[in-house]
Amino acid sequence: MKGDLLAEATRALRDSSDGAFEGARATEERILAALPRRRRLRLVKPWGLSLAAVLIGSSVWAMSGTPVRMWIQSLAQVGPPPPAGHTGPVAERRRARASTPPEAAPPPVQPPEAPLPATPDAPPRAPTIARPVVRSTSPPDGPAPLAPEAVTPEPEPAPALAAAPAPAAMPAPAPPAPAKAEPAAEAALDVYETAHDLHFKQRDYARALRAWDRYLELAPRGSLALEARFHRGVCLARLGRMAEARQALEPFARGDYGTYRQAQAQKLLDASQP
Amino acid sequence: MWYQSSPLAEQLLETPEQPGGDAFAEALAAGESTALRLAYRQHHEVVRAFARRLLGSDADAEELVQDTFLAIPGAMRRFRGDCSLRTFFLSIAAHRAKNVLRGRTRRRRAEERLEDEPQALFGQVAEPDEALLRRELAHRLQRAFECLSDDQRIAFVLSEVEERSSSDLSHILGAPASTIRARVAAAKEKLRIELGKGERGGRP
Repeated sequence: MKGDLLAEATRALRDSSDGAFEGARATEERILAALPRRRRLRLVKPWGLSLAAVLIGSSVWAMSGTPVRMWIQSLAQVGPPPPAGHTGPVAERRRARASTPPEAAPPPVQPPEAPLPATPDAPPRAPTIARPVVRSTSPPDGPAPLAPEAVTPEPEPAPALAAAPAPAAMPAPAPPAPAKAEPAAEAALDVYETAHDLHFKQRDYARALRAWDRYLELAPRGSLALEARFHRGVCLARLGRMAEARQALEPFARGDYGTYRQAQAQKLLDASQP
Repeated sequence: MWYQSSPLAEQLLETPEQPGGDAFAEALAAGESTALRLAYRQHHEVVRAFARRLLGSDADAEELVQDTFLAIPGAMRRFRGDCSLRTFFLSIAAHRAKNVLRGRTRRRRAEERLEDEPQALFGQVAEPDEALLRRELAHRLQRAFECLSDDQRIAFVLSEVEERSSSDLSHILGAPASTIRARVAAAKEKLRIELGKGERGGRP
């Protein structure tokens, strides 16, 4: 009897507790709001410590005088010559240091060297959603172009999308991701969810195919783009459009995306052979 | 259709109930908000249901849900792909639940008086409906959970209430099946005694 009571109570607990919750969306937002802080902390700690160590070390070294000049001279011999008339902040600072006699006392108080660039000059932070694991065939980015001539003490603020990056004097902290990226990511995610629902719950493959296509339009390099491409191929197969399905699945089977869905795609292609 | 003649292909087509593969796992590990949002939307109900059954309190359950999903990016490096993401998320929840349970134990005695409320409500209803009786029964069971160790409690909820397979249980709890069976058996024995006390009119 007691065993029955336990079984009954267990069933009652199972039935009376589910995961539905009106505030689920609010919880989601809280989680995502808390996430960047944690990530930022993780990023800041090692970088901050390294930067502090480098600054302290270089300051102590600089106080000893002579080695600085030797170091600068060796840099001048080893490094490429600066372009004629180059008066960027780094060069200015090097020149100022090199021309300072070792005996000279350091200037009493200086404004911060190489003031951090204004936000528009800072290198844009990578968007948070576009990182599929795809072997890129594009060549790596070339070396950063030199900083623009900074002759005037207060240069004109660069436009927001100016190509010139910040001077490489100090690594500026990455600015927060632009807020306008979030609604786009949200919209893409909604489409992904719709596609997933149409595909795996409603099994409406024609509409699911359109939804996968739409997602790929919105987030062609999104972190779920590969998954969407694979499901798109499956939808095409479901709809009997075999030539297109093979075309969509063959890159997976070939290993263009590494081992991602490779075996599944290969098995599907094998099974689709007449 | 070609796939109808191929059980393997049919199985493959039916497989994904969740984003799978390395790319999604890597996006989660990197803490990408899009991936985490999708993971939350697809799995929060399972995690929340487990949390509610285990903890019996919506507030505590919500705390555990948040804690679990925030822990995902850091925990993903342990994900080897030998179980589903859902099972993996439940393992994070089960692990983190122990912290919540320890904190609750300290508050427990102060709350006991409040927990008599449903019984008082039960007395006021002339003809209690079946749902109310079942809620009360579930409530009694959750109070009886207090006599269990954290490990026994988590194992009982996953095994008996959620009826998860022994393979899932091993993945979630990171323990051999025999250990889990022993925990569940001990939990059932203790719970029978506790529920029996309630039946005889003692305080459950």
